[in-house]
Amino acid sequence: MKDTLLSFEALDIGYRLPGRASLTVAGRLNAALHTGELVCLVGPNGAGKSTLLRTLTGLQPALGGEIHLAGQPLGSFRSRELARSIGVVLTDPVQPGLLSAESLVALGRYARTDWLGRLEKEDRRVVDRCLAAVGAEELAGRPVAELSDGERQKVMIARALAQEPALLVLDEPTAFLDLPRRVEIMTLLRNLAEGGRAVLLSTHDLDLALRGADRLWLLDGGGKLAAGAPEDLVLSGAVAGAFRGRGVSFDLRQGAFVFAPPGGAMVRVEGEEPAALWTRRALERAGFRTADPAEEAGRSEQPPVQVRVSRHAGGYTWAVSSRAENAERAERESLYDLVEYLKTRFPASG
Amino acid sequence: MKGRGSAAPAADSPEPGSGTSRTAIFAGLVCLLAAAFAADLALGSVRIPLADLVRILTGGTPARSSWTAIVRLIRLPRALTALLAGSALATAGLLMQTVFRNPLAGPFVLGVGSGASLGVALVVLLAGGSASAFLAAAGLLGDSGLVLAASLGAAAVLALVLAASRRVRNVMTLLILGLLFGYAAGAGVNVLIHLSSAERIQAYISWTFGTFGGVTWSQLRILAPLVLICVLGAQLARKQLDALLLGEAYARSMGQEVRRTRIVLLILTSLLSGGVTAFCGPIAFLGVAIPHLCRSLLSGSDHRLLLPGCALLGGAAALLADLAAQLPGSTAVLPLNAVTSLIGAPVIIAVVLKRRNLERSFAA
Repeated sequence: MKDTLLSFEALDIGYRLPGRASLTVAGRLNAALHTGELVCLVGPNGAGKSTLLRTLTGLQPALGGEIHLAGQPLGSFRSRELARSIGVVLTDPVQPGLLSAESLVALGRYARTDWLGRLEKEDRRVVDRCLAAVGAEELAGRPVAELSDGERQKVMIARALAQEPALLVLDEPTAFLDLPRRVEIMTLLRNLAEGGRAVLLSTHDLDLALRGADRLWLLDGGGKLAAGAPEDLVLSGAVAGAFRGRGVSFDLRQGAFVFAPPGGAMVRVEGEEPAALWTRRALERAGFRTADPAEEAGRSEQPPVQVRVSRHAGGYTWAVSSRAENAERAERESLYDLVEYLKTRFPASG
Repeated sequence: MKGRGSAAPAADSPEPGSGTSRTAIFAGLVCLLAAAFAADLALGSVRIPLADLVRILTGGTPARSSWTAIVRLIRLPRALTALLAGSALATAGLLMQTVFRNPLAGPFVLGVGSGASLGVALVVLLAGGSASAFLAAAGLLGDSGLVLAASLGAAAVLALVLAASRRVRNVMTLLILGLLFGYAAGAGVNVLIHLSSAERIQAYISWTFGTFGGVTWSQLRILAPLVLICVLGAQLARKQLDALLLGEAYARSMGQEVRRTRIVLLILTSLLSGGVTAFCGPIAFLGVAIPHLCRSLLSGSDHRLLLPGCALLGGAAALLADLAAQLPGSTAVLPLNAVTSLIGAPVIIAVVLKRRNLERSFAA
């Protein structure tokens, strides 16, 4: 078993309101975090992801229960000691004015420099190393205000790294970033975790979390926390349960959310990949159920509609045939036309 | 003057290539301060040649003996007051802009200035025979009574702000509370004005014009140590202030005792702005504008640069404003507050527009 870095038992999180009963967002939470792993905290909006992260990092008091960091109660750490153990990247907007990226990263040395904040040689080495670790060396001299969202996020991560923490906690580090940037940040965080730290991040990007996390902490809207490998949580139905909502469902086969539970006619798609895959996606978006070829192999009964994709010099054509009366055959030149045709021909039965 | 310029903060500047230009800027600031100080001593309704000025300051005898009294009793305390007040207000403004992360914040956002005004208004507008008799009996002349009243008013608001700051989690709430304290005190002043006679209102209004000229040597014995200690104390907070540029949550996550830092900075600011207001009246503009001018000139937000920069530039700007208000060569005097804004605003607008780097310093 790996070293347990952070653990909590029967943790209640929420807000203390002066003069009134405290507002518990989630309660009786239990989980542990080990060195070397990347954990993604996922859950629907309002489940308390940020509250949990702020509580675990000591930015907000717990309402009840126990948090241990490296075996010691979290409350026994002074802020300076805590900053040497946990580096935090928040969602708070950062407007550091005319600070350069390098000066911003150097702020991460706060808990390790003297009372005037003077940087020793070692501090400067760490700053350079952290900028390099996030691939932001060339940004060092640039004012932070001039950086793009992705560049600024990298610099903020470098700043947290400069605290030389055993645990890195990030709240929504991939928000506002485009897909390549999101993958880049996730890869960076994976590397950081493998470098002997623990990384805990919250994200709305379930797809990225399912693919990138060693373990998921799944906080559902009811204030319960499930922890486990992403695949375990998918198979147990915990992921689908936590995100259940109107018009959205979690498709176990695709490992992603799909619009509206399919209620339309069953369609079998034949033809070579990837055209068949994208045909299925287009049909599912329109509400048709698509037959899984593997499931279907054992079945003798044919689905009511079949679509065969064929490729030719000009592109693709889709041939539709059905068991229905007249066995009419139709050819379509684009997926858009195909979907429109099927929608009029085989309307969902409601 | 106070040895702050000699720290040469730009020497270990992290940005390559900019260190020398920043050293030059600091050298320029020190020269500007010295020149403004000398000019404020030499120029006035009577022009005193530089050679005689040096003679007076070194204990010699000038061409005319009356000059000695003019310089020693009037101009020197006046110039020292301007220097101290300018440094104090610029430093206090910088602290508040950083603490509240707000470009419009200034030394008086906490309502301390309004508290001082209310104290003065109470004495000037309401003081009946008994209060005057009390002040006279206590050996305090009119001006000292004002200083006392303003100090008490500022201290009362400071106490309120500190009491509130122990309760509020978010520093922005404090900004709003300060604003409300200010409005409340202002309303009190309005009521007092409404109830007062014209001469008393005139006396109160002339206090609100502000002046560096009313401070005597014995009052400087209080003002000077207060400002020196607080401005130097603020220099020591540069690490905390830099971290606060990212907001209180980040500052805490990086190891700052945020609440303690906040209280220390609030006390420093209130002592600086309250002290200056008590002795000089409410001096507007400098406290908000000088930190921006400093950022623009130094092209940075590091407090290692801004704190000494503001102290130097604030002192120089106050000296120049004092000089301009006295209209050298004439016997007329302009209200100081009008001068700081009238002359200061165009200068600063010109610098900010020319350098075009300020819009980034608080950009969303």
